Amino acid sequence: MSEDTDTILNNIQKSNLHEFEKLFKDYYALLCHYALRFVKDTNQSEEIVQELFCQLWENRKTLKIHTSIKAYLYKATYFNSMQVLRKRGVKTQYEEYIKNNEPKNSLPTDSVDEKEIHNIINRTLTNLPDRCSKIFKMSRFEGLKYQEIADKLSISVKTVEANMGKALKAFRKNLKDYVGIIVL
Amino acid sequence: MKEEKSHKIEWEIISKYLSGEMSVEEKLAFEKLIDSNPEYAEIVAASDKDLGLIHEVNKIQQKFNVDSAWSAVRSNLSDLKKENTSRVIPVFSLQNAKKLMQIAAMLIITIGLGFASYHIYTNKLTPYQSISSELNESGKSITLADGSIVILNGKSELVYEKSFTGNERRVKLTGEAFFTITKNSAKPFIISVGKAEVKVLGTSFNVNASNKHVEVLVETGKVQFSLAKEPNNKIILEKGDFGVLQEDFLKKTTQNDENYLSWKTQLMVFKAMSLKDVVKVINRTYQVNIEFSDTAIQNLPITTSFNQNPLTDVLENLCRAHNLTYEKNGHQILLKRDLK
Repeated sequence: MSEDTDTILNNIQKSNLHEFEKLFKDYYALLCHYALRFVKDTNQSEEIVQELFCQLWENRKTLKIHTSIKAYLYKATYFNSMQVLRKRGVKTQYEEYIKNNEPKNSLPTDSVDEKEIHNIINRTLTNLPDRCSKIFKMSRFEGLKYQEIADKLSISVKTVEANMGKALKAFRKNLKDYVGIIVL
Repeated sequence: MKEEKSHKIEWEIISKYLSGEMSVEEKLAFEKLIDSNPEYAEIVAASDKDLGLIHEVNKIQQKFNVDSAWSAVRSNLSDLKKENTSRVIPVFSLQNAKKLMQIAAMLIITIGLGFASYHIYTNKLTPYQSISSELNESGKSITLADGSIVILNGKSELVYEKSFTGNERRVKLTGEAFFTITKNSAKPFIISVGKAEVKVLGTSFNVNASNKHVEVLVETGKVQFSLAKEPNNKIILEKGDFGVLQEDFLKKTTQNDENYLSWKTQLMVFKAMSLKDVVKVINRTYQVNIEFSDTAIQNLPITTSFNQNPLTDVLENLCRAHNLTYEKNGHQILLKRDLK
């Protein structure tokens, strides 16, 4: 059991709502995304994960985690997703599917820390100068061309280029420990 | 030299390349550059991956709005929280019909035993409350109206008066608990437990009625231990004394088992003890049921101590000492030889 898991769990057991919120926010999107792979329904995957956290809080006093909190959350999401599939009556087909197509990858390994990657990306975006992160988002998330960004912000294409370079460099610097091992 | 140079070019150009902002000529020239410089090619490939990752992460975060999800979950929690922090079950709570029955029955017993002096009817709605612990909830504690503290072992229950209005402070215990009683000579504190009654003025002691008999271990102060039906059949227990009520027979003795209070202290000391006896203490302390895969293991000697360690630490420590391993399934734990 990792130190981290111990501390987090300990705090939550002491009804530390702040710690619980942090855990929730760290894992929510990831777990929903994970559940979505099985239940193929965004609302349902969100329901599964929200329910899971409610249960976790409710049972915090008696909860014992023997692996890591991450492994626990993923496993619980997996089982709850299977529960949903079973109710739908498609579990057996899905098990067949897993057997044939996904021999190992159904639970993420501990070596890849998606949560940490999410955090790094969010942190990098926040730490960039406002204009820089705005330009980066317009380019990457909204799919705007450099020229369109320049027009919208009344700046030169050169400035867009410079800021994009700056952002890319920052991401590379912060993500360099993770590249190559990431499978999302 | 080379490094410095590659530092200067990179990011704007790489970004331009990866964003598809280059003209055909620029692109060709850039690709030629990459081909001739593997290090550079590596950076570009890595950045390409970064962008893919950032895109992916953004997509996930857009799809699932964590903030609105949190407020939904949180609003659900406040209810749970209220319920959990005060595990006190009001006697007339409608949701708890079973509890209601139990407590109603206890009220009858209490009155039947002749404690009508209680102002039960003055505070008609909820004069009594109860706190109970599940098997795995040892250590649950409650502070009573007079400031006395009761720590329950697992699978125990305490029924108490919300505010001690009579000339006694009376509670009823099932299972096992450790009491630290606030001194008040004017109002004796009385615990009804099975056939016995334990009366105190201010002290701390342990009462165990989990087995057929009732056991009282006094840590500080003075305790009167008697049969409920014949209050004159009593013994006085003082610090360190251990009283047992077996059948209708009261006995004063000493408790030499230094692990007797482990369930409360989570402190266990084993001196050349057989694993079988060690396991008894662990079972009691952590409210689990440990079994052995073969009887030969039972007699392995153990000398060690634990101070508030999690159960897994304890098990791993024991296993390491004798090349054992364990399988845990809820409260059931199987100890066996490690054949690896």
